[in-house]
Amino acid sequence: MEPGLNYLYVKIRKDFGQQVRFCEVPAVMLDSIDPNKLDQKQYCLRNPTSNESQTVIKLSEHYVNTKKIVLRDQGVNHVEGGWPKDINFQDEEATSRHRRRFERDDSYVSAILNSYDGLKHLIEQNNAIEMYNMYFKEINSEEPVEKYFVRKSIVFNDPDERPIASIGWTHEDDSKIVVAYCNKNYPVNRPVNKNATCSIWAIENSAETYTDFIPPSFCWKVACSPSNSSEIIGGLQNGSVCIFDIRAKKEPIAISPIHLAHRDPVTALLYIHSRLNNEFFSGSSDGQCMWWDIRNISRPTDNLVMSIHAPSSPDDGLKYTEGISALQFDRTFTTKFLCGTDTGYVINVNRKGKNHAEVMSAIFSAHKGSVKSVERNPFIPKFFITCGDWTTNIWSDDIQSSPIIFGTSHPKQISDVAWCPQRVSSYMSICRDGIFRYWDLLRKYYEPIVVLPVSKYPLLYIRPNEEGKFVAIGDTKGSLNLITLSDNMVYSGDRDRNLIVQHFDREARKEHILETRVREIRLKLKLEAHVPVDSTLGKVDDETLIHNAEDEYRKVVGEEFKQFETVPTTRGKSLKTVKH
Amino acid sequence: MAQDEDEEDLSFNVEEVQNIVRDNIEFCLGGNTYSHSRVPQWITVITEKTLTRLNKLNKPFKYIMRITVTQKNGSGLHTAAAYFWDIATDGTCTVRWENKYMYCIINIWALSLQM
Repeated sequence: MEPGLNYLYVKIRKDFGQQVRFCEVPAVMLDSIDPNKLDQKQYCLRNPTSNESQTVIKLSEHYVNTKKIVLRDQGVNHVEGGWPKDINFQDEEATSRHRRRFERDDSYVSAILNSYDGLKHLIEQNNAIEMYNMYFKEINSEEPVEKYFVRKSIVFNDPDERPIASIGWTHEDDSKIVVAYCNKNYPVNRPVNKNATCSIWAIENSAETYTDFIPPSFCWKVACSPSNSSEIIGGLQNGSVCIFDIRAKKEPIAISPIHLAHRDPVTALLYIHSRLNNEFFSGSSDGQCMWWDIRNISRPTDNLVMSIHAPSSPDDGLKYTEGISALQFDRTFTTKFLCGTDTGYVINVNRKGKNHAEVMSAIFSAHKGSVKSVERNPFIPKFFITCGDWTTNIWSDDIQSSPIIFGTSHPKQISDVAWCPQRVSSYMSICRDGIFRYWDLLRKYYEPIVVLPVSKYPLLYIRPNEEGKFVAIGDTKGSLNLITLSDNMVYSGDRDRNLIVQHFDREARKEHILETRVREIRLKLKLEAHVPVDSTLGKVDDETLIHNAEDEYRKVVGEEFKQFETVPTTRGKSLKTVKH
Repeated sequence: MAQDEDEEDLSFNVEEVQNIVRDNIEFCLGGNTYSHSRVPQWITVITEKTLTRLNKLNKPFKYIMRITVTQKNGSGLHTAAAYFWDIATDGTCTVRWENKYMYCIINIWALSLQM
């Protein structure tokens, strides 16, 4: 429709809204066309019709290619040239003469000056960057940040779910784990242990044990021989020790007689580093420590009674002994060993002492409960770590009053602690809440570096293998977890050893100073307490004090009574009878 | 007289309208055969021309125009209409045109605007 199509008209206002006069007109035919047969015949239905259709994706073609560059190798022959024909360029004089002639030319000077700027710019550019320089070679490479990670590798499950009593690693290249299972609770109503089989596991196969061995009684402790990988000694619940040869048979090849061995279960068992590796010693909660020779365990070679307070004479027997709960022997001190007791003391025992005091050379009051484990630092033997009740403490041999480093308290009781065999500043602890903690004294003092929840059940025993890469942890439900440590947790850093030695020395010195100070103060107090005895000002002794007090009392009471006698006499009688 | 003229002016002149329409059809459809695709174009042309010319008459009417173009193939056709309007002022006009190939029927209704 054209936009300009409009019709304008004018209408008076009074004419608006007039009445409508409509009437109905019936249907009127507008048009009619008759059907025509002739016309119809001219048209017919086309059936079938051919129709063309194509459903094809529309494509187009176009190709692009890079230009091909043809390369060719060719040598170049350098010949000096440019000299005019008459000069022989081999002749130095002629060439220099020619050069000098050229230099005197005027245009030569201006040409040189013109090209000077450009050349200077290029040369400076060239000198600014030295392309072939090794940058940053003076700066030392930084050490990578230490990342610690631990991983639970394998779990060896005991089908009977007995708590683990002791773990040992065999001293061979392909180390195996020797495990003893035993419930150490006292059998109050009925026996708590049924199955005495102990197993040896190989790390590769966690489905079944490598081999088993069966002691006659329940085995509380095992130790592996450092020289002979098939020899294992076990300390039993009935107090005797026995030797197993796992290649021979499952039962022990030798057992000590019961009447000569311990009277309580064996709580500690260790090999001594002798020349032939045939000596070991055992400790038990009856307070005796016995030495044995492997070749003949029908009787102990030596016997020592652990009694702290009274000198032991043969008559006293075992009256004053403290039960032994942990033993540690270090190669550097061949005649000394550390002993932890059930009463919380750690004793440094010298075997070669002449009298009792020399034998018990140092006594440390370590913990409130039994000392669960005691171990010397493999690198710095003067210091050792103990664990018991809820803390771990580090002690120095010289200072007996208090530990040089107090460990932080754990939420639940600590069961065991072990130094890392190859890392000088670290130790690992396990707790009855099922968590393994790895501590490093140089990195973080009050917190463990790595905390790993190992098991839902309380953990009982930890033992790293010789290298320190694997750690075996046993819990109360018989599962032996094998944990792998990352390399930076296994090996020490460069200066770790010096630093930790300094650290320990510093702490030891601090404790030493504190100890001497405390001793001085005590001495001074003692002297002050004795001073009144020497002076002439009159004895202030207890008797006179009591008399004075009594006299004063009588005086005061008498005065009070006098006051009461002036009061009305209803009470007077009863009062008067109270005379003294 | 003037009023007659006015009256004449105001009423619907059938003949005049028929002439207009017939001219337009002839111009547009002429001698063409029926081509289904071109018919809408023709219809547009016819309507535009016709309505413009009707508007030029300058009469106070609303115009309704209906065009039917049928192919001549022998079929029959019948159209009718009924009204309810003002007989005095409103009017209607029908034009039928044919050639050899098609029919063209154009109806024009003029409804007067109130005056």
